[in-house]
Amino acid sequence: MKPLTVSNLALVRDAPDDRRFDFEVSPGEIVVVLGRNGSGKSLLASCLAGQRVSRGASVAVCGHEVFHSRSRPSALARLGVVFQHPGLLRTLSVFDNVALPFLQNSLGLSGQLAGLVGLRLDLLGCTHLAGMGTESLGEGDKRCVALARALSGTTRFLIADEPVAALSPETRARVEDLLVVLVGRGALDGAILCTQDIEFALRVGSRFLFLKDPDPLTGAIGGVREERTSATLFDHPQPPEISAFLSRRKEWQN
Amino acid sequence: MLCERYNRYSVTSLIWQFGVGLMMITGNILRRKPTIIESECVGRVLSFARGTLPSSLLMTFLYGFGFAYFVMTRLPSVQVFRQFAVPHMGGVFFLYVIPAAIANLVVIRGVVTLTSDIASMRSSQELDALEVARFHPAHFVFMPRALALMIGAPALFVLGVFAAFFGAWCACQFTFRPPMGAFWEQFLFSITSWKASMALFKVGLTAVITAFIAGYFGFEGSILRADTVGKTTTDAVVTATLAITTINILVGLFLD
Repeated sequence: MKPLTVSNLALVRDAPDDRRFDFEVSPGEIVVVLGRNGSGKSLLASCLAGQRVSRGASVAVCGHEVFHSRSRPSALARLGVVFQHPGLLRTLSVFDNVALPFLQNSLGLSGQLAGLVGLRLDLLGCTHLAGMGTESLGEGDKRCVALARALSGTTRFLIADEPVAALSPETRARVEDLLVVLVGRGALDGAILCTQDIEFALRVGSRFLFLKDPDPLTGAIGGVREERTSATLFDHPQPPEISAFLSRRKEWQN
Repeated sequence: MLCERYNRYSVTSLIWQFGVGLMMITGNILRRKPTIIESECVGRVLSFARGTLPSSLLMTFLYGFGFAYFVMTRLPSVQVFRQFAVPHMGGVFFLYVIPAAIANLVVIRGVVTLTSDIASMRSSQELDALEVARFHPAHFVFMPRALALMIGAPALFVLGVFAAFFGAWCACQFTFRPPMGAFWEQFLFSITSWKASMALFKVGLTAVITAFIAGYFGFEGSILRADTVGKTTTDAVVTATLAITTINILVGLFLD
């Protein structure tokens, strides 16, 4: 069973066919979504997380349709999401924020909660933050805690929007390794990551979706311009994002 | 135009979810297994009380003082004020002055807090995170704040009556200096249990209706543009003010 199947998904109302999304994520795959500012990466993440819906769209997580009220709870139970804003609840501590999905899964009353939450925080190097309120955290720490929360509960598939933005180099490396290990060892069935960060994309991605630029006349957004795997990413003609990244790196090395 | 949000929150769905949430927390409390929702409810009630108690006591004291002083200085003599005005003052305070003060100060404050909290949680994607974690935002975000308003407004009304009485008594100290016990008896002369319960009902009804107005605007008003917290809050306050005025008129007509 595919961890994620997307069909006929539009980001705007009455989008033409070439601006709709139809793709699948296979088990063990990390798909990276790349694109310019305003190309709809965050909106795509929001739609995949079941927050926005377009007519006739279908998003299935591990076979459970997100937009059907009956199967939605099962789909969301398998989904971990890191939004563009970390979205940590301001009235709860870091520990309670990470514990939130466990509480919904009735694991909160079993007495194992401290261990389960502690493990997630430890994986992301945030154990020292457990007792703190979220208001006093820096942006990078908030993002780490949001990632720890997304990996809680019964998560089988991860959707993350700019997961390494504002992270320190060590934390960033830790997150990159963690994602690769979790997906590689089957703890997660797959992941879809939206980012502008080519270096991060190259480190973790196994498949790359380059989004179309927004239409300057109609303002329409969405649609995949080009799809590459890690094996074909540097084949000519290179996507402009990749060639710009390579030439910048060459300049820096000189 | 962007595609629609999946979760919408109408007033009826908020009422339904509020009922479901109340049953849920009652069950958790009876089973002595409180969750984060119950602790959130307690926290919100306490924070509402802390935030509004000093200002509402001061406001109702000033209402009492000002009202008594105004009436006293416009009657031909202090004797007339003692004999005819004071015995009716308690009734007027109970039915009109204190409910209006509580509605304007406490309820509007509650509406602003509730709407702006919910709308800003939409823009910071806290509501999205709750929805993805399969928590109904009405249970975690709306219910504790609405409960704080619904419990807080009648409680502050009762305290406000005492503050207004004390204000009126202070105003009388400028002239005939009544003893507090005797003034209290005179003050309560026209208050019947029917009037008292109707006044409490009016305050409670105002709190309930404005809480749902605030919740609706917080959830639904922020859906199209998550960053318009200010506009959403203003819309909620205007609608709540209209609702408070209408409730006051309707309940007043019914009482008369």
